[in-house]
Amino acid sequence: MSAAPQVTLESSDGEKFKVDKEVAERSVLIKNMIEDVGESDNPIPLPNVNASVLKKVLEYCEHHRGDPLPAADADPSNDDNRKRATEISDWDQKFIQVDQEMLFEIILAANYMDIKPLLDVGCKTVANMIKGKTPEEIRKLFNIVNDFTPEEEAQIKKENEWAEDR
Amino acid sequence: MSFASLPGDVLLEVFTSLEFHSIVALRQTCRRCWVLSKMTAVWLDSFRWLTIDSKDWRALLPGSPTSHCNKHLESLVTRMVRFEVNWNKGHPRQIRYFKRPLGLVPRLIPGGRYFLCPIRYKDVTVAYYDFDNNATDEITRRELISYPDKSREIRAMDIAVDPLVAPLEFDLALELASEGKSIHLGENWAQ
Repeated sequence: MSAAPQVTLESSDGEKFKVDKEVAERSVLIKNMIEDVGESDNPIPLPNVNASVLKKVLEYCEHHRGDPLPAADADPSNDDNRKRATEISDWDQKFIQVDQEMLFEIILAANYMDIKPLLDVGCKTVANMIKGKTPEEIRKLFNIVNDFTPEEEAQIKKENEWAEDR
Repeated sequence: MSFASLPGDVLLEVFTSLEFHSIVALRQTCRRCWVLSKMTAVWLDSFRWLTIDSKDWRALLPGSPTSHCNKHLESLVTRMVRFEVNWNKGHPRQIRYFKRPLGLVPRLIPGGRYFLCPIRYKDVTVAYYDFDNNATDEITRRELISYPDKSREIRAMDIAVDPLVAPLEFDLALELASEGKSIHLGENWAQ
């Protein structure tokens, strides 16, 4: 009986991670890479992801290794369920309880590595952070610099005023 | 890594995960968010969210959803939310009141501009609600028309009107209703 096939991933800062192929292939990027170049012993470089983020991402992939893969060309009109649920599973919730910087790093990595479910968890987490906040509160939360001119700001505020009245 | 340093396509992913009021809040924080919030994808997802329980959304969005421009989608979504906000404020209460005594179930199409409802039996009177106007009872509850022809039955009518159509004349709105399946002839009415 042979062991499960493994692949090696290399982070931007040169750290190598040996994981089961099944785990690594949660990333569509890596799955395609393996398909394209065939299996080899050479590590797969991920120049956009550093070791601490990759470790975290692989933790997610490991936990979700058995999940059904989302269809690659799913009908967009059947996309509703994915987007609609703002609930995040308990495990995912715990997993994503990280500082803001790590959260954005994970989102970025999930986008780059094409791990849709993880990207969704990240985006939903950001959405939950934003929910119910005023523009000013959001600026504070994310350190966003207000680069509108006072005139523009007044105009935009006016246009959106009705929405705040609920 | 911060929110502001996320690339545009990733920020767009964030935007498409937001509910309406969050989009409106986030877009007001900075220029980049403002521009991103104008993308079609944002409103397409928002629209799908809002209409997920409704089979009537195609009445509002003929053709493929993706064939509509961002402005159109945004105004549709905005109208839907406005409609809901007005509705939930309790105005106009009359529609809810009429529901039971007449055995009518007014069917609401989210995003429809007008809501028409019969309010009297003898000379059938239609109450007319315009959800674009921030509701006060005086302006939303207007008895606008009487049908002299008593053989006609009018049940709950509703009209979904393309929000880009400028304020419609009532006649035109009624015409639209009669083209739809909302006006019925039958015995249920004259009980």
